[in-house]
Amino acid sequence: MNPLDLHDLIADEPPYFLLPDDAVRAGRRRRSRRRALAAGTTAAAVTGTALALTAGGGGPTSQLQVGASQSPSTAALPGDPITQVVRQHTPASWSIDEVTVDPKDGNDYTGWQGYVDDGQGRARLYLGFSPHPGSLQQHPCGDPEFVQGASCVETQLGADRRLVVRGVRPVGHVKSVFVVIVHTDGGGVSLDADNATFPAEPPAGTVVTPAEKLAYSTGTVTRPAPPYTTDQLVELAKALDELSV
Amino acid sequence: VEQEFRALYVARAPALRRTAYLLCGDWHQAEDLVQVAFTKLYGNWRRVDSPDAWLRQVLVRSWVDETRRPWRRERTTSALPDRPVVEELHEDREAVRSALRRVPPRQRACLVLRYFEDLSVTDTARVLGCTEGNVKSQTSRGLDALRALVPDREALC
Repeated sequence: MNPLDLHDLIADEPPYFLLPDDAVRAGRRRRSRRRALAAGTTAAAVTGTALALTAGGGGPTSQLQVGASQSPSTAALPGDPITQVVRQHTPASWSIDEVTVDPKDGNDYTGWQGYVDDGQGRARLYLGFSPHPGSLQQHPCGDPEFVQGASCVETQLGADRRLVVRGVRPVGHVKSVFVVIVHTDGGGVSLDADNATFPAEPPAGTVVTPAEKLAYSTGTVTRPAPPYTTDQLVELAKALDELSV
Repeated sequence: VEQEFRALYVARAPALRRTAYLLCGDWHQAEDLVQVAFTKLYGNWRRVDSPDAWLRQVLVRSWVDETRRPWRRERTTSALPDRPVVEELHEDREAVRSALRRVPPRQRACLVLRYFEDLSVTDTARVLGCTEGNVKSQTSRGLDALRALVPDREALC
């Protein structure tokens, strides 16, 4: 006989809002940090650099200004092709800063994060690269966990890839637009443009309080909507997909 | 890999959050514990044979470790706090919940794993990284502590 019944204690369980995306992102970053440390790379290259990019005339003539670098290794970031593609597909008058490029997985990119400001407020842009087959869902619009009540449209791009655009979710104060290009083998790229900023993750191994963790995941809304239009994100996704193939 | 990970997350995260809540007594902290466990799992995916058991172990041990930190150490009191009059069922639940929070962490972990997760003594010992005898004694002490704190409750046979 069970001497103790604890099931009644969770009768007032609140709704569950955690998403696998959050764990995947955090897991990717954690894995990247560990790999970087194992490879002898400076941790600062993983946890973020203050890199201010200012476009002089756009395209190849863009002028890159490195500011407040936290590590000598950040000097290599302006040459990073991902950052260059983001710069080229972002209006010249917009600034991009606090760029974080996750270390490569072999020859493949894994993640990129930066803050974009069109003059109306800084907001995060997160790029995820899934080079391995089977990493992404073929039809995420059929998955309620992905859609979350937002609009979701899948468009075939040629024979071997599909474009997925998920609109702004109707719940929560952080608005984000999600654009994915998924290949027939399940690899691809994903873009997540928010209307908020998020505290920088602490160095690996740092203990954070629940309040700090909540603040990190909640973010601070800086503007009504993400700075990028859906069309801009789609063009950026296509360019990044070409780069990562 | 990510598809499998996401599927496991969707399937297991809510249940793990309940276990975490019974351990820590706070839904926000419970979510943190779940996220920490899944984040660690992501980086160890290829090395983990049984993700479900691994997640439970990481979650429980993370929480036990957390309670050992000086600034997180829970403060026990000699008396239950005053609470407003509520319906009997709710009151009963609150009494057991408050009492459970006052049971020492490892005893509480044994109670939750044995009587909420329905784990065997052997599996509980594996999760906590201790001997089966230790699980039995910790469980017994935990039950005694609960009975002393809420002697008249039906939840405690």
